[in-house]
Amino acid sequence: MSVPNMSRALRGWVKPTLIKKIEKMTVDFRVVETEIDFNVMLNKQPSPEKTIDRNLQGNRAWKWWSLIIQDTILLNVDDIIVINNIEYRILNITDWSESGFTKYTAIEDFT
Amino acid sequence: MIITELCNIIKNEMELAEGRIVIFSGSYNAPYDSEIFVIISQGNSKIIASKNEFDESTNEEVKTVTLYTNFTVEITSKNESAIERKEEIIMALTSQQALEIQEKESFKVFRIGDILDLTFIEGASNLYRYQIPVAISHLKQKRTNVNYYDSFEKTEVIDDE
Repeated sequence: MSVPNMSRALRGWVKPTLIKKIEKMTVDFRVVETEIDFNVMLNKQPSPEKTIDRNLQGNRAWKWWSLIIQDTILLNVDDIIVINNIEYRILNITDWSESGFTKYTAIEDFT
Repeated sequence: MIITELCNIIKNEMELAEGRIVIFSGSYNAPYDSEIFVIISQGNSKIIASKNEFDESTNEEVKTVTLYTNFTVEITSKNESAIERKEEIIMALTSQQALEIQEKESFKVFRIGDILDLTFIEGASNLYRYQIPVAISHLKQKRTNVNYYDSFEKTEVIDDE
């Protein structure tokens, strides 16, 4: 048994959001960062306190977020994205693409 | 820049694909595959000489510093390519192409150090990693405009008496 397709259930829960993904490429032997725009259906919410409690002591002070994107996997671990001029770093991906969404754990980037 | 020329020499001589050799920076991501990846970084410089000259033809101050700069070439791979091909770094730096680029860009590969095995740093992740120090003799020059006086007003001395 698996989770049914959640697309309909998510409809009222996500909203269209512009995400800028920072892509790294090598130009003339140097790393160059460029922004690529994605329009996605996003739900962004603070990570549950119970989850944060399980993290290491220093990591608990970081700003943890759960991002639910109504799409297949668009991002990778360690990717940096920008939502409303705030940078987030993807730390974990849960692939629920068979059910119509992907869940990411992100922190507000510290660099 | 010298570091870019070093990358060019190693990339061409080892026939590495685009993106397999980078200049060290805080933002590069190591590749996820098993193939060779080369990182070049710049270290300390020893000052050999510095001088200032005036170029009359252009009215410019010419400032020159001669240096020995230590560069570090690191070759890594998850498979055994780094073990098998690490010597090719030294071959590349002493190649005919390298000599031609050195003459064109006014620098000299002064000394190539021993190949250091840094594989142990990676521990259980099993990444082969070798470091080759390369000392390069080069000069840096900068030209700036300076004020130039070639005529002086005569001083008038008034004697009251």
